[in-house]
Amino acid sequence: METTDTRKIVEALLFIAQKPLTFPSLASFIERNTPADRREGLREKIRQALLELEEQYREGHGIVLVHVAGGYQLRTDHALAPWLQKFLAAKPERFSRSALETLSIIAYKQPLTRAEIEAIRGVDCTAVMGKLLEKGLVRITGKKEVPGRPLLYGTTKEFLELFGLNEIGDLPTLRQIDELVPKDEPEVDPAGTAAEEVSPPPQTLS
Amino acid sequence: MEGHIEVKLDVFEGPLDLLLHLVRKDKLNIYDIPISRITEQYLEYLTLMQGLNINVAGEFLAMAATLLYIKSRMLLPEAFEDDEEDPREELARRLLEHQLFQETGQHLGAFALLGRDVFAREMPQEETDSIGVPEPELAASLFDLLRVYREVLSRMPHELQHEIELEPMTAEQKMEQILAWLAERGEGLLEQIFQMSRNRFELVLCFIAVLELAKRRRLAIFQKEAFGSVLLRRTDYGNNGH
Repeated sequence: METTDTRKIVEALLFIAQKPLTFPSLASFIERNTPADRREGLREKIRQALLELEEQYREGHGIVLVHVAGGYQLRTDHALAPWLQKFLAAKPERFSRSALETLSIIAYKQPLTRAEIEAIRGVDCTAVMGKLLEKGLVRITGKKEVPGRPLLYGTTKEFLELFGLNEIGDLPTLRQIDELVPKDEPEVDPAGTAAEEVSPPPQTLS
Repeated sequence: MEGHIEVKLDVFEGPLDLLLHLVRKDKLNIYDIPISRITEQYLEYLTLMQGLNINVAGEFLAMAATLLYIKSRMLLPEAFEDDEEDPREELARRLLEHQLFQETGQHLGAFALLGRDVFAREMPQEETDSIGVPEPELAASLFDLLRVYREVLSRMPHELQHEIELEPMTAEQKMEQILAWLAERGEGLLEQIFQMSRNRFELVLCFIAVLELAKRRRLAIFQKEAFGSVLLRRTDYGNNGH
């Protein structure tokens, strides 16, 4: 193939790909289709192209280049959601509270058994688990080495794609979430809560 | 009872949800729950739910028992001191954990979800195979196998009447048949293999044979994309054996 600008090739491949493209798959595809004498430094060029594209799409575009599920994907800007929902006449998938809760327990505590999930939720999770498995957001990862060898569950790549995460470690920590959510604290220790409210970090006031 | 307790029936998903609601409603300290009061309220809700013909699940009753047990332990000061552990501690821990994951769930729900808040390219199914970029093959899960099995099963006509008893096939024969069929074409769709079956018995046999071949590593089962068609391919494994 012609030695077109690597960046253009990368961009076009990302544009047309249906799933996030990993760097290895992108690189090996381009390499295989480049004459042997021109492969020198090609991977570096591809890496550079990805960086540039990421930068390029950062502002002023309706699409952004995101890292998701270990790969790269062009996705629409979140702010355009209302337009696209209308355009696609999509009936966006709705997740019930129980589905989201179950999913979050699995995401944070994986691998774990259904009994362990149910202990946290306090209810039977058969139906919810069935749905999550069917949607491919959750999978069986093995068996726990305890009597009865119950199945262990974990999240999938589809989960990462759906939630726009590159890897599971990108989830905010439980502590962060705990702090993020305002609590109607009982009047336990007024001193402690008051102290926290005193001084927000000084913003640039100039 | 004061006669007008408002219950949003769909709100409580299980006893922990209900308890947490009661705790929040009165802005109680989770670490220091007035167990007698909360038990009373909890039981009131249960009675109410039963009165409304809501099927109170076993979990609710189990929690009622736990509450009553804690309450009884609280009445025995010596036992309390001996253990040096507040009998409410375990409950507090569970409530906090439950609360945390309620919040986490809400938090997840606010993410920019693909297909809801952000969108990526989608292509009609037929065109996807032509993409040159090799995506790693997805191993098909048992659920995928079952899905295809169920689909084919539902399409299967009911067994014909007046059928003369077919020569029953064995799983071994079916396995040979599948391998031979795959040998001709390299790889094939699981559905097609299922469709070779003439009746439910053979279909079941077919399913077993596929699983057995996979177990013996004579067959690779895979998908090219999530929820895609399940494909089968012969492996070289075990061919040299005989």
